[in-house]
Amino acid sequence: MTATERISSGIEGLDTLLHGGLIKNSINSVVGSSGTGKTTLALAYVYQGLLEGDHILYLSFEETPSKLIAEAESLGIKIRDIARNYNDLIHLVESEKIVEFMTNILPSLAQKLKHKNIKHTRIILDPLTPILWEFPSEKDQRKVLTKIYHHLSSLGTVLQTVEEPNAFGQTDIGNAETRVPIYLSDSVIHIQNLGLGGKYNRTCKIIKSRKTAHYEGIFPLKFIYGQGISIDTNSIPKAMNEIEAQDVRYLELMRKVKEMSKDKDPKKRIIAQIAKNLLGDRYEKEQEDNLELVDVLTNPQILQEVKK
Amino acid sequence: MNSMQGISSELLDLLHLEDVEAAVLFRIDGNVVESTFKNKYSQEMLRTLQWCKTNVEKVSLEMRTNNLNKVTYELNDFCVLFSVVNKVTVLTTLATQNVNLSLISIETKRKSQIISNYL
Repeated sequence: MTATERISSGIEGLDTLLHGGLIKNSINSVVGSSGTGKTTLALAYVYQGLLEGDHILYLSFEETPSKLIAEAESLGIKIRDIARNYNDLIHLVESEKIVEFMTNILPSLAQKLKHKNIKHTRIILDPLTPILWEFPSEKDQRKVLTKIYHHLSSLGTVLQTVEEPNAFGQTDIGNAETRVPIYLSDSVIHIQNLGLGGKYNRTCKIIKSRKTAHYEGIFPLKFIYGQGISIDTNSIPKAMNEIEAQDVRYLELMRKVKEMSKDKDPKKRIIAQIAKNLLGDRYEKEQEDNLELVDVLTNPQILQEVKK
Repeated sequence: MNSMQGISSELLDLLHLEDVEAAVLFRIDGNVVESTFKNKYSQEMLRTLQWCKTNVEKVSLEMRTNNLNKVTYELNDFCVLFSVVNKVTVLTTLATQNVNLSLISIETKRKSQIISNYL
């Protein structure tokens, strides 16, 4: 199996849900109704790209660059501090030029950028919905989007926002207006806001993610000043989040403990029980403590003393 | 213990009651927040659970409108008890029809209150 190269989304928790971030040169959709945080998520993605030195191509179909920057700043996402001339990053595509832009200008722009030898580009289409409205039939949508995605994915990693046309608080991810982009995307992130308050009021769910064994279920989401959006992934066992869970010493130790727990010698069984209890708490401990614990339990001298 | 582990252990407690087959914390739109099942479960039980998932939105709306704290349904040889946890979540206990309804009713209500503290 070949390892897939991934990039950070810039959203706390999202990379964990996607096992390391968005796949490079993939098409990613963020689906949600109005006010769920789609644009904020896109702005956090831009900010992360700027921090990593990526080229940014933000195509806005609704809001002006200055409005988007103001929105980012209201949440503490300081894009202006890194990119002084944000007009080079964010481009407003006027509604009457959408068809021409998507069918002619964008493919040639993609070609130009390719020739410039830019390492990696983060492309944002925010929101994709006006494009879908220009092509009411699903067949046409598929045709146009396939062509656009082909050009854009050769250029970089695409993040597009798709409006879920429902009444506030209601959701229907599979409705006609979102079907084609969901079908064509490599990954789909569904964000919801029920508007009733509480921890599970705003949530994030990974609907699909190709080449990724992503986490299932809904995860609480909240707006945080400075980061934009944060996803609470505390319900995922910590050890699964950390590379240490794959630590060969840890796996070897677990195998030894299992063997010892079946041993005829009651002393060995007691030692195995102690080790099990200690390792059971491992999930609750901090990363450094975990490593220390594995160090202690793999040290033959210490084990000898415990046996004595 | 984080909140999800807390919720999970409360649901497991429900599962230890006689004749209880599953305990699920649903969000009112049908998304599952946390769930526990008996190791051996039947197709019939899965069908009932699917019914719960599809209808939890309707049921919770009814409960909210009529100010009900819990609702019981009997279907497919199972007894399903919905109990309001908070504005966004509903605790669902699924048991066979032989279950002591009073007992699971009290326990589900008690667990709903405990779970609401985690949310």
